[in-house]
Amino acid sequence: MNEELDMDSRDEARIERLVERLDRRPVTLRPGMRTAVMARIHAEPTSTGGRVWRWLSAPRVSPLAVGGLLAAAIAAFVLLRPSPVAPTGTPVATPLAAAPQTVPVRLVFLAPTASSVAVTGDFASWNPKGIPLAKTHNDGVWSVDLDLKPGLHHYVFIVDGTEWKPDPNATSQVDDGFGQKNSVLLVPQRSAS
Amino acid sequence: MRGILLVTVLVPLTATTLAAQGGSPLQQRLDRQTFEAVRAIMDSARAYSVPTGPLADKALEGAAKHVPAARILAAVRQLRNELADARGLLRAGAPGAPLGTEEIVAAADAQRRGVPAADVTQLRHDVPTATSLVVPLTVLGDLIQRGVPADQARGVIEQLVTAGVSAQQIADVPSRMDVGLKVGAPPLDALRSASPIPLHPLPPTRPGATPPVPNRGPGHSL
Repeated sequence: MNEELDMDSRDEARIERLVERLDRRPVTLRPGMRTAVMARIHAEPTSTGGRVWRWLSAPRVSPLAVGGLLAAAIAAFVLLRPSPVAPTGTPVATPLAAAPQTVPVRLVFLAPTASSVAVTGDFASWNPKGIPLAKTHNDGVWSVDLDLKPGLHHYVFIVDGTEWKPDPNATSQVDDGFGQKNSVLLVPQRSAS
Repeated sequence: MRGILLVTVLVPLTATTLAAQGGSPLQQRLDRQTFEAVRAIMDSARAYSVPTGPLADKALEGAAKHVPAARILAAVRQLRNELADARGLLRAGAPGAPLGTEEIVAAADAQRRGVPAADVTQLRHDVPTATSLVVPLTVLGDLIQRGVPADQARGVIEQLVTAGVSAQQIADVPSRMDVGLKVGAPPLDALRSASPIPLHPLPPTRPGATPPVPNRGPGHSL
């Protein structure tokens, strides 16, 4: 223990002696040295990409903060996005209220021999490819979970990409105006409770 | 300064990209002549405050089902007329009340399934305007399709709404009613069993009211 203390005090004394020997006069550079160093730095070759990246990434004081930039980008998106336009070119009124709430709905279809099943309807803009159902069981049960706006929806299933079939489980069906049937799906508004 | 420069570069780029997505689904899926004709029908609908979204949907549906153009146009035109009628019936029931597209569509759909015009107007008149008619009208159509006389079906719907039964519970009535129908219960009995509340005695069917259609069970249209 005492030996350790002796070693510490010896080290401290040595350090103090070294410090005393230090030349504490201010260092003066020879005239023109700073200019020469800066000239050498500017003369270093740099690629165009590197210069652009340095320009973009260099810290700087800007009148626009990051938040401001984001806000500007969002505002630009909202103002300049193509508004939904009716075929005549008349802009369609876009409701300012929040997007209507959606309700989860599961559609199920039994098609044991089908190799693919999809569903299309007004909620899918009658996309001819439809929204694919997944085969949930080996016994031919296909299903899909959708988030639909409350209201009345018309839909049909597309089996193997070609056969259009109404939903036998639907509460009701209506004529589609083309000599076929659409299934009717009523999605009630969710109560607040 | 450089931030502003970035914005001025980014904004046109974003706008150009978005504009490049261009073209409505109608333009993309209909040939030019059909598109122009549908556009004209939609213009005429707009002039009478008839919603045009369902018309565009009908045209897209026809295109998806590979229906000939002439039939697409006939169906769109017919739907425009149905929506115009439905709007008029709802307006007659509650002049000045707010009227949403969904309600007009539901009223037209209900009429297509056998709900008499007078019952559409009466339902709008009797149900508080703050209550959406989408579910009541659709269920009214379901009940009529299941063989309940129109005026009695409307009476039941009004009882349910007045009693504060939730839209979900009202929407469930037809499928609950099917349980009784499948075991051979008469439509009105099946409806009483399916109702979430005890129903008051229903008035006798009015003279000239739409007679009950044969019970075709669920999934059948008129």
